[in-house]
Amino acid sequence: MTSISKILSRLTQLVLRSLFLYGLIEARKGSTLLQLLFTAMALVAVVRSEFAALCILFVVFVVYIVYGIEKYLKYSLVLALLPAIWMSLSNMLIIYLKGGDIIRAFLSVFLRAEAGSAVVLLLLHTLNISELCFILYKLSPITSFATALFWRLASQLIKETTEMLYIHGLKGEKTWKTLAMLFIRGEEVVQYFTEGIHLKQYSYKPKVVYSTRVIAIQIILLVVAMLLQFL
Amino acid sequence: MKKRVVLEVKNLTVYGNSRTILRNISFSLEEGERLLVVGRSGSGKTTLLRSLVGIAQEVFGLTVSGSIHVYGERVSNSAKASKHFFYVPQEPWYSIAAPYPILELIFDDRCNDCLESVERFSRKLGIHEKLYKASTDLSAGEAQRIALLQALISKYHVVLIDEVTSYLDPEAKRSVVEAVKAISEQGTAVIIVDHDIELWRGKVDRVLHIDKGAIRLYDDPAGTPIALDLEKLKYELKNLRQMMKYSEGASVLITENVWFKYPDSDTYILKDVHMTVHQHEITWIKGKSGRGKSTLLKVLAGVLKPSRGQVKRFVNEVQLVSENPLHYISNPIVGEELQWDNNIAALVELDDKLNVSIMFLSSGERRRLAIASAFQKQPKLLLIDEPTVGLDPWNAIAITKLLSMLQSKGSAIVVASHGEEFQYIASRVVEV
Repeated sequence: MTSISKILSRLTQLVLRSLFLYGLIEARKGSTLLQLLFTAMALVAVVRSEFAALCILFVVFVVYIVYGIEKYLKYSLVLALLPAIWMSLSNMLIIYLKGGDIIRAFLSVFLRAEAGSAVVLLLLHTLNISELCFILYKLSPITSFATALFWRLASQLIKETTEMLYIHGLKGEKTWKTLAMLFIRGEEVVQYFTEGIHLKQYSYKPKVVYSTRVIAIQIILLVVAMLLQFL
Repeated sequence: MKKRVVLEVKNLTVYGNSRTILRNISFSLEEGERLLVVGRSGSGKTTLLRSLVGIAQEVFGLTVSGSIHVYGERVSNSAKASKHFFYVPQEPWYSIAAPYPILELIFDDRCNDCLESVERFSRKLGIHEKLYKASTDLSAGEAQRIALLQALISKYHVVLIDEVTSYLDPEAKRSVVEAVKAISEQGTAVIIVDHDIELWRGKVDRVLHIDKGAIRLYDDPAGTPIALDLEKLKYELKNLRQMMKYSEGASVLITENVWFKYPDSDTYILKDVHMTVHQHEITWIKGKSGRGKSTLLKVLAGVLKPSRGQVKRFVNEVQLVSENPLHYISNPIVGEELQWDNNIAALVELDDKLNVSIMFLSSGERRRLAIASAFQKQPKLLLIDEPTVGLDPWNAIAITKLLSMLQSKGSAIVVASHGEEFQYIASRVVEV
């Protein structure tokens, strides 16, 4: 099989596992607002100090263990390696040309990129879809319905992409053909959904699902992020 | 006590694509009544369901005349239909819009404080553990039962289920029959489209047979003309078995102590699998839905790496045709996919469709195209996942015959399927 297809197939599999590995886990029953606040504050701390970035990485690691979803962290950090290494090497090259400490330059950017990615991915992994749909429903029912459907479709299409790339690779087909066929498959999926959920649009009314334990964890996280601002 | 009439259909006529699909159809259903709709592919069964809920007009642009009343209220569009009808399409996955089944259930306006009902009925239907999983990971049977669970707890007046058992293994079929029974016992009328008339004998009140757009009602599924057709098909399959010749060739693949588990799971779905695949053989991987048939096939192909053990492939020419044939097809036109080879196209009866876009092929035609295309590559090992799933008996048997023909030409074929038709052509059976 072609090596490009194989690499892309493994890469999409990694994306699938790092974003959609689990079902509706407890971590998704918190407050999106609290999680957004934590993400913003944590990112500021990561940018300001390497030590804070290390602390944030540790805190995020603990959170994944507390929620029992540490496999998410594993796949996410592997995925984050790609931009982190690229950014670190670029920075290292610039510092090398300026005559600075290249090891420190590499580690500084690498640590911040990994910590930043971990924080953003934690937001994606703990986004409360029911709350998001509920809020959007107040603004526009169709946007809310589309949001739920987007989350449903994204994992489906990534999963199918992984398989198609591998199967077409076995066939010896060029990768661009797979991408073209993905559009056709996408169109077919849209047709099926149009029929399957046509009636449901009239009875759609999202409700929020919360967990007090998750909200308590989010408040603790927010306090930690605030304290890290003073480092 | 006389039951109330729920649904009354009068002179329903559907026209589209320059032909009359259904003509002057009239029937009524009482509370709790179960109606089985049978007929050959293309006879208008699905169109009947789509017309009842307004989808035929609004989504497919068909012209519908006649009247539909539910409890005396005229249903003239999908908005009105949504108050009374619950529709499960042939591809059950696409009736679930939410990313998790539990959200799909509680996001229904009719589901107010329904968590207790969800809990109770999901256990009854055997899908309690799936409520919090990702909708993408549901099998056909599970997706179908989630849809039926929604119909059950939201208490719609009429439930319509298209091709209800075509994706299911025998056990899942029985659980769907139980679900339908539970729905009708609470007074909901159910219309079921299905080919498996044996399964529904004694489980439905009436049978509506559609032929060329016209209907006739029967009391027993076995009395319909389609029952005779299916008997003939069974006889054909038995004859096929007698005509096939098997000879064990060289080994093309060996698995040794293969174990596999998915990253989000703590349990192994494949445990200690040992198997050898030879040339000139059809190996049938059989087992219930969710037992790992497709997973095993993907491990054999190399899509998934075994958690333990190893897969030794002695040939490079391996082709995998997955459950959805569109995953295999890589060209938009039939002729391009078959490299304009008329002989191969004729083998699968697609020689008159060489210039047709794959978007306009039926699911049976797509499957035949994918298998023919894989065969054209002359693979030493052909792996095929659920080649007959979702097909009517006529198409399923056409695929079975095609595979037996390919086997006679020397390929080693491994089929993962719950379709019982493979007992007639398989030379080796691996049960998972």
